[in-house]
Amino acid sequence: MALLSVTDITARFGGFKALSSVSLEVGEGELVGLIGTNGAGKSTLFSVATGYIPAGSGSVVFRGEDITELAVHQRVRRGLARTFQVPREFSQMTVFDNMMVAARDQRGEKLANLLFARGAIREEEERLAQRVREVLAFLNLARVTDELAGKLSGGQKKLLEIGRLLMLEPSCIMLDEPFAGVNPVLIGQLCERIVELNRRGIAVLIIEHNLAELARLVPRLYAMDRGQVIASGTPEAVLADAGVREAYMGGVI
Amino acid sequence: MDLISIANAVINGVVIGMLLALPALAITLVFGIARFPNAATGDYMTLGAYTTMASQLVLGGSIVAAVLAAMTATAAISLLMYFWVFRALSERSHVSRLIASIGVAFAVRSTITFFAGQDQYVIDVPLVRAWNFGGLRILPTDLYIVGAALTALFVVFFIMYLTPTGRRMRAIADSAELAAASGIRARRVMIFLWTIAGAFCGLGGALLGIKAVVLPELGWELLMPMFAGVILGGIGSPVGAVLGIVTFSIAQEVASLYVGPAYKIVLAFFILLVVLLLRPQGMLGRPIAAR
Repeated sequence: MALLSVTDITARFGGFKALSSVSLEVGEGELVGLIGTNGAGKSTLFSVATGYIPAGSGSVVFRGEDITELAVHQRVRRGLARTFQVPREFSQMTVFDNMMVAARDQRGEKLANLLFARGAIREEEERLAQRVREVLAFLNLARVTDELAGKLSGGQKKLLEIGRLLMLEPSCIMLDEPFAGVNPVLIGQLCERIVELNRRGIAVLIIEHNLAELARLVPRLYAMDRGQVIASGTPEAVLADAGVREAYMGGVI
Repeated sequence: MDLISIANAVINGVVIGMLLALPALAITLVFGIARFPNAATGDYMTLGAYTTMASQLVLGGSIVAAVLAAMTATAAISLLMYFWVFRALSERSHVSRLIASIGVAFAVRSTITFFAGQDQYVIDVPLVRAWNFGGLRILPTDLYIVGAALTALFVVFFIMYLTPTGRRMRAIADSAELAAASGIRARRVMIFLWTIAGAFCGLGGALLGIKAVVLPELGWELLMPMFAGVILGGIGSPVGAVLGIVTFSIAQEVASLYVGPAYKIVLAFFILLVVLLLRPQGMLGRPIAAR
């Protein structure tokens, strides 16, 4: 059974039908790509799956549970996390705090524990800090640990987003154009990291315009156009599909 | 004007400023996290002053117990108003919450006058003499007030910057959407926020009631000066709110030496105007960034 199944999702903005009956599946530990021209509805699909935009109809099932009606943070806590097209960060907080705040299951979150379980909290904070340092090292961000996140470069912010996702200990991550605005050297590094995460068992769904890079990265692709899934399969098959070529090239070829 | 009078005015400004720093901090925290200027802040203070008086009447005796009771009562009302009014409007525009908060302000004040009438009251505290250091006058009561305010400020800054709860508060203030994407439950932070805001307004009102007299317009009339102080310090910056309101209060007290108490607020607003012309983001505020 699939880890994430999005079934027959429809979403409207006023009269505009952004998604019409879109279905998509991501299997346990799978690495899947999602392509499409601007306005095809890719990011909207991410937003519906993660709870930012309500589904007009259809269902989102994650790990066998229907999460269609759940709030954003509840989906995150169940292990479904996303990044944003334009990287976001807590700009007035340090990189370290950006990571710490995303850590799961903190006892210090309950105020009563601050008074009655100080020792346990300190231990947990130390354990989390250790993990933050590991993840930052993994992402080559160790040097900027104590910088304000707002001061990072665009590429570093993309890495920080992935770092924050990792602190959530997700089982499925949705990356919205992770390579956009990132220099080619860093793209290589990002790819390695994504593959490495996937090897550790995290399912990944990636929106990307850089088709060459994506085709090398993922074994399976979905293509969307005008709010619908128009093709799916291996990258070769999808990129050779007449409908996909039509959508991308406007039928010139 | 001789230096001693100016020094005394500065001391008085610092005391009033520290006292008002509590509700000012409540304003800035609510503005940063719940995202609206809470016009009920002043009347929560009034409530604090009246409940101090009331609990003194009922429980008798200790002023400390009365102030603690007032903080608890104001925090409870603040929480009630969150669950009853502001939570329902959390998805609406901040203007709707601002207008609702004006309504809450009226409701709180009217409820107070319904029970206590329009009369003035004084809170029963032991009379003390001012210490005189060659003309510099310091009231022991003022020291208690500053001490209580500093303790409360220390506690909230400790929570804000050194605990996981505070980290989450700062995260929501920074970006509510990203906070949700990071699995942060806003509800829990909101409960904490409104408890702190209520308790601080209650404490500020109680201290002001001790320093001055208790009357129904006590807090409402301070709303504009408090907002001015918060803006002066830089909206959304907790440290800025404290510095801003203290600066504003000192300016007011010193100004009253020259233009008389009736016009002190005009001069204080003039200083606000000058600072904002030179530094639109306030003393510690961040420049308004393109988002």
